[in-house]
Amino acid sequence: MPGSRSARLVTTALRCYPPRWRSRHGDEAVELATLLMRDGMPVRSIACSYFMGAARARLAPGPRRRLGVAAGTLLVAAASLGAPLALLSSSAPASAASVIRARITNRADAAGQLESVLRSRHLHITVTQEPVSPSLVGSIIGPGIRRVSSGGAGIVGEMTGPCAGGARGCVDGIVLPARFTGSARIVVGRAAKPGERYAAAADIFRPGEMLHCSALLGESVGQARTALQSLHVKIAWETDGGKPVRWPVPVGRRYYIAGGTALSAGSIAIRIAAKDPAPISPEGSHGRRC
Amino acid sequence: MVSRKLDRDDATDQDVLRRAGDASVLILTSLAGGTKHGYALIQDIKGFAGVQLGPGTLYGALDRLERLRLIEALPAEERRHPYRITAAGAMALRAHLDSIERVSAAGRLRLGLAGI
Repeated sequence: MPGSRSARLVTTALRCYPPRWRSRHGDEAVELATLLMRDGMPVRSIACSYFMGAARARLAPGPRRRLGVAAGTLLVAAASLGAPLALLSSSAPASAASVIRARITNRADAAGQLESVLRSRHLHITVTQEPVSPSLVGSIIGPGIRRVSSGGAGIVGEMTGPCAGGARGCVDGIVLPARFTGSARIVVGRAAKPGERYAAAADIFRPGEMLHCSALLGESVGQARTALQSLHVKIAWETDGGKPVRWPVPVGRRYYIAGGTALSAGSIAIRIAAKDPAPISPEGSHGRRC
Repeated sequence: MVSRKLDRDDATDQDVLRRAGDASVLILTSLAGGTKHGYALIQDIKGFAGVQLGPGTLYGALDRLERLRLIEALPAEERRHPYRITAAGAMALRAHLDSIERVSAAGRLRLGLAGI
């Protein structure tokens, strides 16, 4: 292995693995590190990867060892070699104590609730609000965390829950490492003011959205047109591939309503397709009559 | 509706890789093309996925896949252990790829990328 310091760093990382692992993979792991260094992979990256692998190997169920002792040993070993602890902590399995969870439970004050939790933890994360379609009000709008500065590495993830209106899969919380030191921005959906364009919108046939239970999904364009006109909203027709459809929209029985999105409270985009999309609709029967 | 839900649950049960992590899927995909040892796996995965697996991640995933009997280690050649995918591994990979395809189709549909 090139360089005694490199060798010592990798060897120390490998020493953190359980003995059983070392007897199985130890020799090969040293050889692999040598080959990767030869290919130009930085020795610190290799050592870090082994440190993290060792942490996972020791923290994984199986070897009955106290987790605190195992993690402590690894952290001390990493620190003694100057290995970046932030990387180690971000990749180790997240325990309840090592993360901060901020979850929205009150949609009416989603932004205020998140801000309150983040402020109490002294995190430099700002919460802004943008107008969204009805089912996304009070949810975090993806990507959950934006504009992460240095120090933000190690974001653990997002939590999902029900949307306004009852659909599933809205982001209603974030999970951050307790060591998070970066700055970032979270965007929360709010109800739009009259005429305001949505920054984000869900499928228009989803629960809580304008055409939920409308029975229009899968209907022919001819049949749906009259019902849509009665809504008194501006309609942009487009193909299922997103291309605008010029008027007159084909009203023959071949064309069906395939989906749609609300652009604002007063304008919607409706997609049409040449076949009934109902059997593959991800929203199931939501566009049908309830 | 009930039968539809059951179908989805069955598919989830078959997809044992759903929670196994990306590295496991990449490794199984690589081994589907033939037996390989650690270094060859890293090189192959970098080639077809553009992902540089760290050695610690690689061994962690190999151990996990071996515990699940989705791969098996062959006798060592010098210091290197070649691995090969098992029949169960091939089935798990196939189920996972099917699952990804379903998600991909739904995503493309919602993004308006599916042609008419």
